[in-house]
Amino acid sequence: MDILLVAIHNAFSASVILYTAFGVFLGVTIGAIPGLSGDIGIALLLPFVYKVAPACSLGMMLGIYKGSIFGGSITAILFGIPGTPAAAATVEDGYKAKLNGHPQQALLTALYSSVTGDIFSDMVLIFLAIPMAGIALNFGPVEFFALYIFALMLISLLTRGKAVKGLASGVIGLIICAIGMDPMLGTPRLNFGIEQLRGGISLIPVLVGIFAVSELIIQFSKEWHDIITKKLEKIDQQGTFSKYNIDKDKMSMKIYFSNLKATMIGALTGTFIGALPGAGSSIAAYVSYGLARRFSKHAEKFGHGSLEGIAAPEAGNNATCGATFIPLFAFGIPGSGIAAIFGAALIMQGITPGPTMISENTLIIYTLFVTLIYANFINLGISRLLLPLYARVSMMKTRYLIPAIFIIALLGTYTSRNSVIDIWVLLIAGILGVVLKKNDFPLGPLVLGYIIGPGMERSLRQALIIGGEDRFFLFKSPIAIGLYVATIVFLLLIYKVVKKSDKNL
Amino acid sequence: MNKVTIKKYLTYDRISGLSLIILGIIGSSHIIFSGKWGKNLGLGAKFMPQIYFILILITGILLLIKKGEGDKPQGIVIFVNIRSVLLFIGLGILYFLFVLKVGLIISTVIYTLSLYSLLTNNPLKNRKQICISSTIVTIIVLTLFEIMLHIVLPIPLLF
Repeated sequence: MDILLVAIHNAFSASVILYTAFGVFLGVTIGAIPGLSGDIGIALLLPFVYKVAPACSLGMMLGIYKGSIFGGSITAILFGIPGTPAAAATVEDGYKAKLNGHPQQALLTALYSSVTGDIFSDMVLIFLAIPMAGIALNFGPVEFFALYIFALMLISLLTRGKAVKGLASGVIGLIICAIGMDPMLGTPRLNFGIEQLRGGISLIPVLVGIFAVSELIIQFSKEWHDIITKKLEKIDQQGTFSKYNIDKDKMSMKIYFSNLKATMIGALTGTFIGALPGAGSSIAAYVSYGLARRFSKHAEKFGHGSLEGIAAPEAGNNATCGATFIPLFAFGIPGSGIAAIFGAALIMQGITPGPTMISENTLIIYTLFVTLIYANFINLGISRLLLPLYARVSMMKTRYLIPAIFIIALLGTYTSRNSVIDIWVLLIAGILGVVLKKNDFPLGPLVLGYIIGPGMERSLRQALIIGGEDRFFLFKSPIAIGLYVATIVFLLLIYKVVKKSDKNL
Repeated sequence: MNKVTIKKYLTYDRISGLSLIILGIIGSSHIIFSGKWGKNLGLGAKFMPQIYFILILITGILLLIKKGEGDKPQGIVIFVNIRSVLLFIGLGILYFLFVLKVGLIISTVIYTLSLYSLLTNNPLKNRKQICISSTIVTIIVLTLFEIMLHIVLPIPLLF
């Protein structure tokens, strides 16, 4: 109880609140600009994480994450262009609602549902992570190996319609992390004689390159192509709607409560899907939309500007925010790209994600939990207050930001270790990210493979050393068998749900 | 096979499959022919990388034999021009080398001026806008690194 009080005191210190609020502001801004997403913002912060106190840097990252998911819905509603992939499901009803003369109701429904979904998900994280970590304390190498396989298979195979590519992406991540030293013997491997690679490939350039630099290259390519072919589109981004009556567009508690059922469907669905490694916020938004339409009394209004059609996907995508950290906090396995970056930030702060993380770092984790909750209210306040500003920011051309973001990525990566090899890794990771995106490979499994690779290899080899001659030692633990069975059951179940929601859409 | 047949056969998935197979073969060959990697305790240092490259080979084969679904990726089609990628990376490398040799302020100004010129419709006509944007970015970078984060850049960097 004393620790909780100290954690609350820490979380409400001026510096943590300021960093979190700044993170939320940055996140909504990044999310509102089409082409940029929260991944980029959080990845860019990585090189600077160790410069500030853990509670401040983690609070800022949380702020960016939460803010960016809501930010994506601003352009989805106002211009019909999703700011982030997670907001794609909001476009259909959000943009129609705006054209029907209800932009304010649409935006505020999105905001309130996002915050409700997010709070629900954070509460689930707080109440589940601690008991789950307690269970994980009983895990040995055999169980951990089964868990790594469970996570890797889920994150790879649950990537919609591209299971083989997801698996390939995960294995590429495993290969990248195998470069350097053997985790058991310390023997150099796969370094191709390059002395600087003996220590392995650093986390920061890989993550910043894969998430930020690749996206910058794509944006640069698009903008440059438009310039040289003189194809600069001049779309009327304002959209047009006639006879706008502000009195008919007022948001009220009555409207919020009338959409509460759809919001809660989104919150539950998003939390469940977010907790599964690999499923991600866009799947959560689409599944929530499908389920809300199925259980709505006004299903016919969906697709024609229904506020329920905005509330469900918005609650769904934001509800993945807290839930995506459940596997990271309980087992040390990041369930998404964002969770992987967050895990990397924790490692850089000297906190190793895993079952012992909460017991060994109780104060900082409790502080994080408190920050998680109040960051939602900061998101609510800032977004509500600055909505008109964000609407203008979202019209900003990406081309003005490309040089600034690239310089921060480049110099940030360099100064994190003062190593030139990191710059080469950053640029190569950026090109690799572009090649993978261009060929429709998901990036999440690659990062997961990279993060869990050493742990997976260590647990397998430890298990086999303990097992000795016993060839079936890996299948002798009931927990491990349960996890293998769960892998198969979850795969079949989710495959069915995703396929059904695809049909409904 | 004529040019059209080759183009029809070489879908995005098949090109990806072929690339993965090549990666798998190169990696596996490197592991097989590179001699012993330290003492073999238990599975040895080679075991897991070998498994990874075999998995890459298998996924490559699966992509190659997968029934073609047109020559476009299923998700969002991303436009990437190889010349622009090379230009962006090349400028990035030049910028980094300039930062090391010349200094942060001048390098940042030159780099942002050239990038904004490339990304602006009529650079000469919009030179005022380009100069203002370039100055703002340089000030932001300096403020961020030196004032806000107190990051000590190596001596030749400061100019």
